[in-house]
Amino acid sequence: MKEYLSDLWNHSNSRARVVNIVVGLAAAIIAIYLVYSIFSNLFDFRFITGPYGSPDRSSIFVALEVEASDPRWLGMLKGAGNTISVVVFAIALSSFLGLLVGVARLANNPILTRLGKFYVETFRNLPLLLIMFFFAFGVFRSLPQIQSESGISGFLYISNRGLAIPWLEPTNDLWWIWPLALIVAAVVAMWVRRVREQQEELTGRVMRGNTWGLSIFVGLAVVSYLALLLPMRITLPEVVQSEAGFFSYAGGNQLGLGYISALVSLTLYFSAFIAEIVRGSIQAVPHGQVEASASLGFTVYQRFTLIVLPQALRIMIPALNNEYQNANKDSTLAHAIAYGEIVLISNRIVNNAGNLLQTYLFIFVVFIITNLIISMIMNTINKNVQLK
Amino acid sequence: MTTFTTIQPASVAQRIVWAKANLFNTRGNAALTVVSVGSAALLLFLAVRYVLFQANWGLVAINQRLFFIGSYPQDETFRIWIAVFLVVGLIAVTYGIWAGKLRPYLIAIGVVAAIVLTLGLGTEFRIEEHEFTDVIESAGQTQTVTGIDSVLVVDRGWAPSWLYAVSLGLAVPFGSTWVLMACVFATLAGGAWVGKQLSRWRSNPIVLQGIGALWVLLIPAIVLMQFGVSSNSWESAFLDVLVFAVGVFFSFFIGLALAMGRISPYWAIRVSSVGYIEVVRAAPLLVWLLFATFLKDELGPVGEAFSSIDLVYRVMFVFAFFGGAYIAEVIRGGLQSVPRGQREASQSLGLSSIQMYALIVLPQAIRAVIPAIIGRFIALWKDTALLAAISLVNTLEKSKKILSGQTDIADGAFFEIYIVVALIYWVVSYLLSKLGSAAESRLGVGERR
Amino acid sequence: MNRNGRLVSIFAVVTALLLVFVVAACNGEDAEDARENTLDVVIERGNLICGVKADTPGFGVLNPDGSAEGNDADYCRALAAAVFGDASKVEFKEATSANRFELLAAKEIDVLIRTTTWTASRDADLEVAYAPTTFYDGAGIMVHAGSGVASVNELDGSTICILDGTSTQGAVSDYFAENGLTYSELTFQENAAIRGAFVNGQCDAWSSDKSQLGGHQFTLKSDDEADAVVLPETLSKEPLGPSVRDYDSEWEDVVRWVVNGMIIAEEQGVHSGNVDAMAANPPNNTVARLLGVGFDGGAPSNLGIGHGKIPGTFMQAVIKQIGNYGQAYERTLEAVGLTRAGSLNASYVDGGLIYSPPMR
Repeated sequence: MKEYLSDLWNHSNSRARVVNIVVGLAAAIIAIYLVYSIFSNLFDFRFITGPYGSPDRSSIFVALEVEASDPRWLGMLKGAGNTISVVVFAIALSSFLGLLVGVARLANNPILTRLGKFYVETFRNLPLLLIMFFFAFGVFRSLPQIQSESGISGFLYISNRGLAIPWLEPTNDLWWIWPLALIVAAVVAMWVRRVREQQEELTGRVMRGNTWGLSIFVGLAVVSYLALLLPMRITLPEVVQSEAGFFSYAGGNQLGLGYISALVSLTLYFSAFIAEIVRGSIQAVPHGQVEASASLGFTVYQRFTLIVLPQALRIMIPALNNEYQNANKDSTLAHAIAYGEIVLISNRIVNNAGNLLQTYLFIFVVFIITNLIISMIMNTINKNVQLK
Repeated sequence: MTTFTTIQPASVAQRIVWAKANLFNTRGNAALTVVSVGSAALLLFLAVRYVLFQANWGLVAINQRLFFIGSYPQDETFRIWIAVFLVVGLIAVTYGIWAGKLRPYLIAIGVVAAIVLTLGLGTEFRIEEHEFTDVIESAGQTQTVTGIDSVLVVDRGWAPSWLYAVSLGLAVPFGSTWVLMACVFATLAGGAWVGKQLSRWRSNPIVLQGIGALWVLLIPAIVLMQFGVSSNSWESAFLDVLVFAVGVFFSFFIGLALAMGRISPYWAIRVSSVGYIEVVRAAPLLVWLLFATFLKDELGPVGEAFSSIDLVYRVMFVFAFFGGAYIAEVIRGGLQSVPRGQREASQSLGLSSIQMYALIVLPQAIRAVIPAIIGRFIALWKDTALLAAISLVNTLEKSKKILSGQTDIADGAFFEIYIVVALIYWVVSYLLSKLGSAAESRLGVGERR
Repeated sequence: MNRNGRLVSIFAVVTALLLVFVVAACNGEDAEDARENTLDVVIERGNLICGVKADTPGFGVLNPDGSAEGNDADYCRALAAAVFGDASKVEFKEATSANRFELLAAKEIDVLIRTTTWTASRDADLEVAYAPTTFYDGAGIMVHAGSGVASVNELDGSTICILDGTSTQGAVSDYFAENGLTYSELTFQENAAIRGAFVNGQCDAWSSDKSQLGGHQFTLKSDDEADAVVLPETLSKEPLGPSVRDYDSEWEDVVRWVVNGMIIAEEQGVHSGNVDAMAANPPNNTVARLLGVGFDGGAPSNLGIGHGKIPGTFMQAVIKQIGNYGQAYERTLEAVGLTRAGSLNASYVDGGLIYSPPMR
């Protein structure tokens, strides 16, 4: 028996089989146990039709504000929408700021580079949650009060209740078709531009792809806007006083402090990381490229936008992908400053109804999907910028 | 891109030449210089004005204990001091062995010690209370109340107020802490001296392995020493450090095991490692922490047993396994960077696969990713702030408690308190990032790629 | 081979350390029965873990050193006195309005005494059992004194700060809808955050249970920062009391009868000053049964609370160390300006609602 066992172990083929069977079985048992206990609880989904219970108005979109009478599943979907509405803007703003700071760190000016370094070292080494608390309970709280009407009169107001900005307002019931029409217009415009550019490459005739694309987009946008009988209009914010003497914002869109604090904190924090990625990628572009373009008579701006940045982009996209996914996941911290993102909404449901596993499984699925979308977008961009 | 001269110019004339060449060479650059000097000066002015003249750092000084150890039992603080001496001693010895010059280090310690140990001499804090009477209106009834208005008064000793302000009131040891702080400085100096004596044997593997082993054993030693104290009294910066230390220790070994699992010849191990890593990384840390906090019997007896463990241990568990999944990915990158020839060469020398990985592949792989691993540890340190979101009293949460619990004197002192908390988190991650870049340049990771 | 051996020993050390951690972490926490008896757990642990509020003067204020004061904290101490004969054997843990029921369900705390309103949905959905009400309260609204507002009906268009996840949210929303008023809601996780928001004018009004508003009004005044007025309207019924997990009746009985015992003690005139004399020589059968002693030389009657796991004389320790209902109220709630006389919290003999079933 002993000999048989040692043979079994020493013979590499049979050893592989033994290890695979033992480990595979163990993993399978753990997985089956998890799935079984999840599903023995998950089977009960009745709780998601119950009313959510308390309103949450921290969203920036009226459509995503949670009403007390909303069913819980709708509350969770709106929470996911709130997560996305802070992440998208945070990614855009932090990329822009990160690009600026990253370039500043490589600038030809020692004082500017040091300022850039100071910025990066400050925000990179602080916990994001602390930055959020700092803004939510400190900086924004000490802003002027609403009745001082500080801001740009009739256009933009800022106070310790939030930021009021101009916004679009639907004027009829079919307004939602227009954003969809815009997406279609963009797709069509991009397709036309691509086709014309390919023809230009093939035939050498000037096809003006950019002009064509842009005019098709604008044209379709205007036509659909008119066809839908002017579905949206701009509203401007104003400070109003109720009969009882209370001030509030009317018109425009009021961005609550939870949202602004989350957006500002995410932007500052991730722009520091993105700046480092930008700096590293630009430094990785061979210096000969810059010298060659300089000798060809390119200006500094042309050298940067036409030669350095496109090459640096190739290097930075995988790292950016990673950082964007981190920003997406770290947006959950905003629940600690009472922004109604997915974890806050879900925790309230857990608090009112129990059902921890079902609710958290939903959070899990939302993050898998959103991270997958970020990944897909970044991979598509990556494919387009790589050398073909 | 173009670089600028970094050599410090000596004479005034040279300075002007340097400035002309680097700061005012083009019109655009001159504008940039003016704008950045202006904003830097404004920032500096605001910071100096706030730190020296506007803030009340006495509030920080009297709450020092709460910032660092919270409500840790007074009689048991020796456990923390032993840990401090172990860490400080080991840092000093390590520094002495591998760093170049001892003299500037000793001078710096001497200066800091002189300031810290004398700053508190003669400093006194008093809370002055003024009684007042007032009439308040409640639900239509009027009623007379008397109350007490409290003001924190700081009487400084010899130290000029700017020195006190610059140290943010943190460098003011009181009572028996004074003696212990003196011992800490002595350990810093003495440890470095001992390290210097040992440095002649620094190429000897026994010294290297010995110091390495001490560093590895340090974390369990510190944690095991805490078992005499209820985990409910682990608070503030101490709690952050403890969770971080345990997270670092276990996440490294878990990450190593997972990375090896990913390249295992057995498909079952590969599949389970990849599955684990991907599942853990899919959700944010906060979600795992909340899940570990709120899980009760949903996962049957396993969940029940897990939920009966103290919350702090559960959090450490999450940190270790969450950090492990990320470290695994980092180490995998290192493993991929080891040239294939290394493996083939060791196989042709007849090494077993355990020998090949332990002696040839892993040392090179880990060496290549040490900066990245330190980067993950920095992230882990910053993530300890999240304990505030699950009602564990870490530094961040403690600061909120100080603000809400001491409304008599701390009302409106938000920025003082938060700046100190930010400083505590910032200093540790900054030092770790310096360690990372030192490792990067010493190991020559950058050049070898 | 030598090196290989070293490697194996390193792994052995690491594995051993892992084991030590696991053993230390699981220390004495074997897999327990799903419906465990909290009373047994508390007695074995040697102290009570009580979920309280951290920042409401009068009800629960958690001090930096881990001690707590306030009416809720006093009931925690009373429970510890009943179980261990020592009111100091209690550990306070902060429960926020958002996580309190999760803490209770996850067995982080043995009992929740945190101004928690008894509602049907909490009783049923969250599997929480309520001990008797210790304070009859109702949601109210507080405004800045300078605003000149005298009634809730004048709050049209205002911004109101409310604690996240409380029954106050529903009360305000119902009241405003019924009266055709509009408002915007600003929620926070802690009273401390609301306090800052209110003081800085981020909201015009602060809604919470009236008793708590009274406490906050008091601290706002003593800082001389902002004067505040509690409006006369009561928006809802908020009976507050201790709560425990469902299916834990032995423990629930202990919690229930400690509270009832304190109410009976007040009715019978037993207080911390005379409890020893009363126990030595009880004036009537009710007092004798309350204090677990025999009347007129007879044998003490066995009420069976805690099934012999706690002494029959548990109320003696409670009254000696904490006092009766009225004493606890006076020490904590009167001190922050919550007058008892004439309120719902007066004893039933004085026209209030504080009434206990008989202890026999």
